[in-house]
Amino acid sequence: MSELSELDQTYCVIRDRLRETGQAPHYTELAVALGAPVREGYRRLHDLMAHPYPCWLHPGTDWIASFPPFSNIPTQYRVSVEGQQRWFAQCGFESLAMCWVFPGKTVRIDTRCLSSGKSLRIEMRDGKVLLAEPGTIYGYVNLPMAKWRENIPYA
Amino acid sequence: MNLFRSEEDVRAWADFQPDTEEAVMPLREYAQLWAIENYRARIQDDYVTRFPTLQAERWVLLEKLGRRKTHFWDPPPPPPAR
Repeated sequence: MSELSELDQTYCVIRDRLRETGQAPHYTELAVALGAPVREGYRRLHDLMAHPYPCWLHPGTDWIASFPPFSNIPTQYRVSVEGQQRWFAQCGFESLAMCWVFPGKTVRIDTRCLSSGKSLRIEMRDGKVLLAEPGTIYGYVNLPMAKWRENIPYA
Repeated sequence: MNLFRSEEDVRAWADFQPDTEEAVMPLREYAQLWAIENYRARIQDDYVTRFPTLQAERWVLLEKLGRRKTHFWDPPPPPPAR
C-alpha cells in the first residue's frame, strides 16, 4: 500500500476489517495492522474521522461508531452476505450501498418499517435489486441534505 | 435515512415533515442514488483521496429524477478549514 496516502491506508484497514468480521478495529489494532506505534494508530484514526467522508466515533470515545456503509453499533438494518448475518448498515440508504463493498455477492437487508413495524426484506447484487418484499418499499429522510452534517447520526 | 413499507407509511410516520416531498422516493430511486460512483468506489483502495471528486454526480442524478425543485437536496456547505 506504499503508493497510497496515509488516509487511504487507514481507510483500507478499517473497511477490510469490517468486511471480514462486521466489527471495526480499535486504534491499537489499527496501529498493528499499519505497522505503526500505538500513538500513530490513534492519530491516524482521528485524522480519518476528521475527513468529510461521513464516518464518526462514539461521542467522547475513540471507538468507531459508524463507517459507511457499515455501522459498528447494531442498527435496525441487518445485513447478510451469502446467507451470513454479520453486519449492520449505517442507515437505510447506506444499506442499499452495502452491495458495493461485497462485489459479486448477494447482500440481504432485513429491517422493519419505521412507521408500521412490519418487516422489509431486500436482496441486492452489484447494485441490482433482486428482491424487495413488499414491492412497495419507500425511502425517506426528514432533514434537508445541507443539515446532515450537523447531526449525522440522526439524519 | 430510513426505509418504509410504502409511501403511505412514510406519510404516516410520526416524524414526517410536510415540507420534505422531494425526499419521498421509491426504493428504486434511492437504490440509483446510492449507486453513483461515490458508493461504487468504496471498494477501491484510493477511495478517500478520490472522495471530493465523486460527489457532483449525485446532484446531476437528482436533477434527472426531478428532485431539485426545492432546496431539500442542496449540497451541504463546505467543511470548515482545519
